[in-house]
Amino acid sequence: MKRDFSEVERSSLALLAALGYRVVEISSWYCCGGFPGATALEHVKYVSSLRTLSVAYRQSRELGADSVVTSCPFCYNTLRQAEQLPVSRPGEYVRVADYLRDELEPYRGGLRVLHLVEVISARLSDVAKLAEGRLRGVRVAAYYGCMLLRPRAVAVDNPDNPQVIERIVEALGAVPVRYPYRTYCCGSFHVLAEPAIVRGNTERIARSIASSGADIVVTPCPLCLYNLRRYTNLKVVHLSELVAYAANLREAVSPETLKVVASLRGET
Amino acid sequence: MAGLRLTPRELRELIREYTGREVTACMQCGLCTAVCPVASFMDLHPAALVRAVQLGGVELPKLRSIWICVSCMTCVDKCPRDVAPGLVVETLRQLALKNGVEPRAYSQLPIDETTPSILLVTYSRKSTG
Repeated sequence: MKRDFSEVERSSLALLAALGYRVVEISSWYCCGGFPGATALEHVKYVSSLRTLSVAYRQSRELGADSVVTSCPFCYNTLRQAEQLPVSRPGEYVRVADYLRDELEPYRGGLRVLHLVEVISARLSDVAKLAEGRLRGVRVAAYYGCMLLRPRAVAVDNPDNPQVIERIVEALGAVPVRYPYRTYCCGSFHVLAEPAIVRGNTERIARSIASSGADIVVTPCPLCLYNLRRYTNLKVVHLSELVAYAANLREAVSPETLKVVASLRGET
Repeated sequence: MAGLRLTPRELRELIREYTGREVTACMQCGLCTAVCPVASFMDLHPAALVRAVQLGGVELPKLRSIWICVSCMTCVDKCPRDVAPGLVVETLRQLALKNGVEPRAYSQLPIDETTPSILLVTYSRKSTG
């Protein structure tokens, strides 16, 4: 995110500041690896997330913070599953915590792990005030991807029929359009070694979106954004950028997104 | 670590140990295959893979499905018998990796400085034990 999608970080931070949050970067965070260990063969994959949570917890006590927020769905999914590990898979948690004992105080719970969409959706009336209907009449298709919705235990909304991004779109004054492939996997990392999978899946998603009559697609996931932009001619922007644009935080929005949104405003 | 030749019973027991799931509970309803976004690219689609594990075991070095699954977790959430084919696949993938099966050499990947690191991280995560 920091290296390749700095516009997402910039717009997310600007948005959180505009909503009155004080955000402090975790003093030393570690790459989560993208996917948490799904089986007991791989509990070692939780080491980096639990390390990050330990540091965050120590820092949170100094700052009086109660939550960890991320704008990356992969980090969200992995940190949230790591946060639940002491309860969901205690045996594996103990093994990882034992391994980390010499370097850090083990993470024992106490932090809320949140994704940016949860923060925004908890403040819809404030978001609506900031947005002043700037996107009125624009038809927005929300594309969720996988990592915010599955597995069910960490879903930010009902994984079968999520509404959280549509509600954010409504708060911006825009019109959410719903279509069948909102939560269908785009093909993820296969863009590297098996591009046919990503081409096939993104084309399927694009046809579904086209039939909904959307003007623009919004997604919370940088990898989905990358894949959709690479293989389809949809107008796709990151959720945090669209909300930041609507909230008149233009200096935090990338030139590409400004151009896409400006072309819409010309049309509508 | 068990080798690549596993009897159905050994495989079932390993899957139970590592995932807590019971492959014999599968009733072949096929919901996992229906919801799988990459089933058409697999050699054994999720329901067929679970059936193979139940009955005859699988030949891990030849199995393509374990490298195709993206762990989107749709089948894990939908399975009405809690078999969670996505976790079965993950176990087989880990067993293959820990026994030296390589999905693809890194040198063959089309990577340059514009490749986002999130892509390298997630790809590597699925190609390493």
